[in-house]
Amino acid sequence: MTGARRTYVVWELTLACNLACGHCGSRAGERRPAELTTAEALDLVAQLHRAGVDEVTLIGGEAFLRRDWLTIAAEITRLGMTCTMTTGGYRMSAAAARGLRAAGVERCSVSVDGTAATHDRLRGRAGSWRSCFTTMERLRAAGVTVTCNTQLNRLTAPELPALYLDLRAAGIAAWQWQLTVPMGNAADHAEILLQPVELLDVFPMLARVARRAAADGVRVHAGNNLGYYGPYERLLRSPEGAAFWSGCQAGLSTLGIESDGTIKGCPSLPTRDYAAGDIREHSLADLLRDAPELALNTAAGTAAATDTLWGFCRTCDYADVCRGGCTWTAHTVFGRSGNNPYCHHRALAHQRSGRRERLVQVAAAPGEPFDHGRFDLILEDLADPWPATVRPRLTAAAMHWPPTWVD
Amino acid sequence: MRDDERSTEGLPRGPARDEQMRPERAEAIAKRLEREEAEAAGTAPSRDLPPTVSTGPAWADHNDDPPPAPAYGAPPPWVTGPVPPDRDGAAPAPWANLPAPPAPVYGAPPPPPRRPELAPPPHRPDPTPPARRSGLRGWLRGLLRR
Repeated sequence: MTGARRTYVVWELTLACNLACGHCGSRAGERRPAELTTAEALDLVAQLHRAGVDEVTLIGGEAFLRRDWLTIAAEITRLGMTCTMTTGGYRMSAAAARGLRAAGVERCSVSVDGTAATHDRLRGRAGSWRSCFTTMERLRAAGVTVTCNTQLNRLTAPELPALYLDLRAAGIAAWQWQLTVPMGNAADHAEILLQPVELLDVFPMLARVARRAAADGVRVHAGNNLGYYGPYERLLRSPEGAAFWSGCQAGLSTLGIESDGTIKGCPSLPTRDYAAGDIREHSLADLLRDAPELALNTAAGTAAATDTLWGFCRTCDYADVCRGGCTWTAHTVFGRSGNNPYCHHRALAHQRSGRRERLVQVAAAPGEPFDHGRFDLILEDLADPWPATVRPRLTAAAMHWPPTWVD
Repeated sequence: MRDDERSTEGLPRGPARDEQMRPERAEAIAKRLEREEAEAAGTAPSRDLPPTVSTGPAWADHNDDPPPAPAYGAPPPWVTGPVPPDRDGAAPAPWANLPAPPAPVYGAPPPPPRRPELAPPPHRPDPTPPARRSGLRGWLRGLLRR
């Protein structure tokens, strides 16, 4: 989608939301007490431009619940940066879609999680799945390229093939997948998370869908927490099959902005541990130069790149390049980064030695935006019976392939 | 603003992506992935799986004890109201519960500090003696007091 992009910012315009997602990492719903004013937001746009940012993606909450969202989008494009948007797609009007295009936004990603019943259940709103497709129609009619993003979890993963057919019919250009991570509301509903061993059955399904999508001209893109390496890495990371995961880019080429002006290296990182500072108190240039929270990956490409790794990731063949996969995912599982159990290569390695990994939650999340609990990692025999006290294991047999599916 | 006017203290920072890995390392990884792709192609089970006909969401079919609905507790207040109108971006939706945005103040001189509200003075007894009562009413009150 953005091959020429070097630097990227994801900006939460508001925490206000019209959905109530059971897996929302930021626990969106009500706006934050002190969200940036219009003038502050426009000043931040100028700072982003001066900092060399190529692309800004507007998110929420629901970004269009801010009155000035189109003013901000238009200023981003006026300064020559690419502006994109990610929306929950709930009841965006045709006028809003046209306004988005008029502001210079060329692409909009709609979040769709599973087929209708699952999506509505996860998103907390009856009719929200249908509304996503209405929004997609309106965006396309306005001349905005429509893409989609989907959470992969215990509820949505089996439905991915069926969802693909619906999305293809809706005319999407690209589709991004991302694992649901135990942050925010999702940390309160750990039963919907995939278990690491289940990646063994999920990845072949993803590969099959990705091949179908590539044949249809729909570009599939693995999100930063979906991987790593293994037989499907290149297929999922880039349809051309040339690229593979090259480590977390938080703070290197990526920044996240919370709606009250908090700056992080990545929009998903836990605020408590990774907030670099408040844009009301520091300029972006000062934060980029001085904040240690934005320097978490500056050892990439050096001998010190693996210093913070531990557990399996410490001894992994890919450690120097991978650097523990997605910092956000690892931190929300264990309370610190550097050891990421959500890894296909790792699951395959354990499978070859007759073992499997399973996560058990041992601490709840405190209930704040971008918070997390803590999990213990159980390494056990692959042939052990699945514990009766947890939900059934997801296997390949549980994947729903519609009768109309054609490879 | 032109590109050459941009600050040099910006993004990207640290090593560039193509400098985070030696070319020979990247080549070795690509070859290994290629080998794993070939191995997986010979064992991929997916194409032989028959299609599954579903009458409902997948999680319902494969959970012996699906969580009761609503799965995520009582719906929060912003989803319990009537179905909202489509959002057109022109005016705040009433269900979004958005207060009017504050007036833009960024860059402007800060407003003068508000003077604290003048609190009523603490109660103290009036030092002046009460006026001496006189007249018929005063004489009567004095008589009653005695």
